Amino acid sequence: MIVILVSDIDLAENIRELLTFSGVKHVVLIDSYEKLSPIPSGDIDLIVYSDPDDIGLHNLTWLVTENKIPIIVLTSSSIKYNLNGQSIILELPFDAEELIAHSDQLITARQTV
Amino acid sequence: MKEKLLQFENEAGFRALFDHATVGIIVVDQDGYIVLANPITQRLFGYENHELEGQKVEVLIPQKFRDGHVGFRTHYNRNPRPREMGSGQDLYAAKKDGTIFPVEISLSSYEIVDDRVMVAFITDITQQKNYTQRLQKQVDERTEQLESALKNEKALSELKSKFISIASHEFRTPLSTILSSASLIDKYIDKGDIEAQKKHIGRIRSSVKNLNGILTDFLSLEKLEEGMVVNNPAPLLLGNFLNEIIEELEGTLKTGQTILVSKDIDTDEVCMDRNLLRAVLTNLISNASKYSAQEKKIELIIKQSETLEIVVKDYGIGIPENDQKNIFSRFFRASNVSGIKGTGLGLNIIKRYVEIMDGVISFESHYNEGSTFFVRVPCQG
Repeated sequence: MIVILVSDIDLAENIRELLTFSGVKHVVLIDSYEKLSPIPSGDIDLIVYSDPDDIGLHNLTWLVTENKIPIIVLTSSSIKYNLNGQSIILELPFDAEELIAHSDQLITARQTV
Repeated sequence: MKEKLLQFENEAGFRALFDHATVGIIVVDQDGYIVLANPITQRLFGYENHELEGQKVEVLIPQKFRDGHVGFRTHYNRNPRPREMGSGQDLYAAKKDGTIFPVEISLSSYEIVDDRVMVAFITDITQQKNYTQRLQKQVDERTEQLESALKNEKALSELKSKFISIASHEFRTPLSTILSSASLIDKYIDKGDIEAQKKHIGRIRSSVKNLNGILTDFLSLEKLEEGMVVNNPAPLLLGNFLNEIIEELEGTLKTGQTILVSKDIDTDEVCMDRNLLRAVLTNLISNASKYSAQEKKIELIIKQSETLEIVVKDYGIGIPENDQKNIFSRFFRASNVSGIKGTGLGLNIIKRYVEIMDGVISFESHYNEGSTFFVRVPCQG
């Protein structure tokens, strides 16, 4: 399952459509971090997280280091995210093909592990 | 003692020097009695000729300093040498009528035959003091102005930083939608899915509109900050003006939303700033639509007499009570608007527009029930 945590509904739906085109079956859209907690972390193959603020950044670190969930961060700021190799930072506005390629790569790596 | 001094002062040069000096000169014996005082001293302190002679020098000192001065005088007698009196301190003298005035005093002493006398040179510095005080006041005022300007500059700088940060996010998000919709249109062309292509063309249009709205808000804010927004009242046909705005806005409402208009207008022609009034009405009605679900009605009530009263009521998501105090603050967005596009600038801008028109804006809101905004601006028929 891929979780798209993007508050802008149009952008979230576009990302879902792009990932669906690349063959992903199960995509969940959420607009706030709180809505992530009911989802078992073992079910999540990838999170696409747009423009996290300071709290979001803290959440990201926890998700990546504790739960080993790969994340694609879409960012409009110059914040240096200190995330490990399971994560990718893409600057907004991102290139759709790049997003799809990174998504495939991270999901494959997670499923291989 | 006086005889000795008179003997000494017989020389015409000394007499002239003493009489025509522009500073007060007094000669005091070791017991503190004034032996001689030149004419300017007498004028300065308000005494008649020779009236000071034979009086204690403390008579020239304000009452509250007199006791202390006796000690200083005794101390000086032990080690008499030329020096300024009370160096670094503000010195004051007392006139015969009790008036206090600021002075500068230099002290010296000399021996005549077998006696030692002290000489004090007294300058009235009232004018210098007043000038210094005026200068200090000017310096204080300028310092205050500079500090205020610096504070404003700092606030503006912080605003600009926040502006750039928010602008970056607010612009990049719709740009991402446009770019991803364009990629998806490419893919749907390959699949021949016309409906999906149309959906994304609509999404691109909506994003461009959103970008334009953000740009308008930011430019309006900048104009306000630079004081470039002014009230320019001009004759306006209120009925036609309202119809135009409602007609424009009806095209932007969500499915099933309607604007119910109620007008109570005394005279059709009023004198108001068309652009400011349009911005206020457009923003309030657009917000009412944006924060309400489909099919919800929006009520617009206009009453006009000496003032124009505008009421915009919606049945939407409302403003949570905790957020209400900040609702007119720059960049503030209520906690329940996640997922609804906005910069947090609209209400701040229109509040300032209303104030520029010498009007007031207020609101009532209940979470999940809706909001009502009230605007009152003066108008001339």
